[in-house]
Amino acid sequence: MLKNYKTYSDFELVELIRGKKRVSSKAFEAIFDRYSYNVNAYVRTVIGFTYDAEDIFQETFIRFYNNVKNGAEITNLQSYLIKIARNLCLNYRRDKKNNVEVEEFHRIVNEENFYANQELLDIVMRALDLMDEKYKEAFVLKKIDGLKFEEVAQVLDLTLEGAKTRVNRARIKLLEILEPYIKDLEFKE
Amino acid sequence: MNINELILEFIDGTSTPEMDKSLFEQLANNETAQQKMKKIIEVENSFASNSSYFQPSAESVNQVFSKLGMKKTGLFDSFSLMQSNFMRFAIPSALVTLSLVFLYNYFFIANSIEANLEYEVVSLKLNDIPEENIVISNTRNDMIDASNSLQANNQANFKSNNLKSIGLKNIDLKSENIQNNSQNNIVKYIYKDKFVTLDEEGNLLNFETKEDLISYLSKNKNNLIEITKSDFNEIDLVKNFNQITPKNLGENNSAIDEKKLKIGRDYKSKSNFEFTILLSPTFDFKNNPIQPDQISKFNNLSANLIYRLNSKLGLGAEIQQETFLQSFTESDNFDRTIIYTQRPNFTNVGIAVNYSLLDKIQLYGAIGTNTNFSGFYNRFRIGREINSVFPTDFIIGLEYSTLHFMFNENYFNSNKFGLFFGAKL
Repeated sequence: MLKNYKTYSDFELVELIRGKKRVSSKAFEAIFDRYSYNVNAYVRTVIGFTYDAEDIFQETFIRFYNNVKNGAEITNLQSYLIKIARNLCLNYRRDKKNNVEVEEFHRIVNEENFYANQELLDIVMRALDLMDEKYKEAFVLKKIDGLKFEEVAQVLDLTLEGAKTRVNRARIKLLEILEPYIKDLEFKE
Repeated sequence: MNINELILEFIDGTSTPEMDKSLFEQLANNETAQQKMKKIIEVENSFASNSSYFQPSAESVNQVFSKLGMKKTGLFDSFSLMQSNFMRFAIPSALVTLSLVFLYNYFFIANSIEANLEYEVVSLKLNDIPEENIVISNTRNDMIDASNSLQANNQANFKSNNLKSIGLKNIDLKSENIQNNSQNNIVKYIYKDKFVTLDEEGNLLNFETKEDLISYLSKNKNNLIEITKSDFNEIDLVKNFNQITPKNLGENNSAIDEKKLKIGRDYKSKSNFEFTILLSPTFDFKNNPIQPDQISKFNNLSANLIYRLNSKLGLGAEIQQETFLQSFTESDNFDRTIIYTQRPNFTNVGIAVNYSLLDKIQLYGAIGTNTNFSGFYNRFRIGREINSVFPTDFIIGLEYSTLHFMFNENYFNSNKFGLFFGAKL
């Protein structure tokens, strides 16, 4: 009889990973299918679309698997995965600085005519690069990964109110950067 | 609380009734607030409407599993995605099967063809030909009897010229029937209900009745030559009698260079059962990002066993190992659409119907169950038979199949259109 691992809860899947190889492999795959998009979204947003981001994405799941096998206690799987990714991203960016300035962003967007030819999402991603790391990751955790404010707070080691404030500030900052380029957008009914 | 905060609380669904009231009042009177709300929604929706934007690359996915010593299987459990032995050996097994069919035919069928075999040979001898000595035969047994009644040297010629060309080995000439040097016998075979012979220049002559032929033979007996079944196999091939060019009209008159002959004949099996092996190649030009190494591009094989109810209609069973391209769409918690596509293997078993539409056109229909999941399939084929020297017919045509099944409480419905070819015994 075929088992549908997609229906298992996070907790059940984590426990299955600790078991025999074949079941462990299937459980890991189910978790991967469930959260790889979110982890990749976080890493891509924070690091960018680079080979380094691919490495961090892969390393996140490898570390997760090894941690579970070594008996790590996990209460919130998605937050746990994002935390691993976040630590890897922090290590990677420790010595790097975002050199993109606001004026440079406006020049790129204007010169490349993004407004006419590119998806809004491309512009948003470039705009996110202009923001401080703390706002950028707060935004991606809440709006792309879909974490609850409690989970954002857990990942970022903030209070609930602090997480909420940071996320909303990020949203407002993003809007301020993008406003000149979306003023003519029609609101889809 | 400013307008920005009110909008964000509203979008997040965490606003209180008082906040909503305050927001709506400001929106009603403030064009700027309306625009701001639209823009925030537009920006935040840009992520939800681009579900593949952050999809990890296939290479990255494979890397993760590879580094952990695993293999990604995707939507279906690995059981259904494993290349089955049946599929893995599809082409070799088809070749072996065809070889067995060939050998079976060669050693058993060819030596047991009896009344149903229609001969297409005219064998004429020179010299005097009394009308009563012209033998017309429609069956192999008749021909054997006729050959036995020939005198010795003619009988030897008859055997070498005829038996070889029709693939028969074990016609034993009965010595007691061999007569003295009388050259009065002539054996004639009907070629597709026509009475034929060759004239002295090798042109094939065609007569409507036996009497016409006899009359011609009587008038031209000194000019007649011997022709063999080989000649008529060539005739059957070219379909145009005038195209035949005899090589030698001398005493050892082998009318056609046998090296150029392609032998064909009509065959009707005594058995009511027909066994068919078919291959249905599937070429998948789509690059599947989930599990490309599990996609087989040439792996559909089926076997049919049909019982002929009459000359037109047959009923039987089929089993087919095959693949169907599956596409599965689902939404995640953020309303992003995720599309999975795979080409898993299926084994289908069903009832098959065969109908002979025209002389060589065959229609096949099948409906049955899928053995891997809860589901059913149906299939329609139209093919053209190609007769060979052996009782094995070849068939080639087009097929259309649909498959419907349930897996993990999801309904899958797929279809395919393609080519099929195979052999029928």
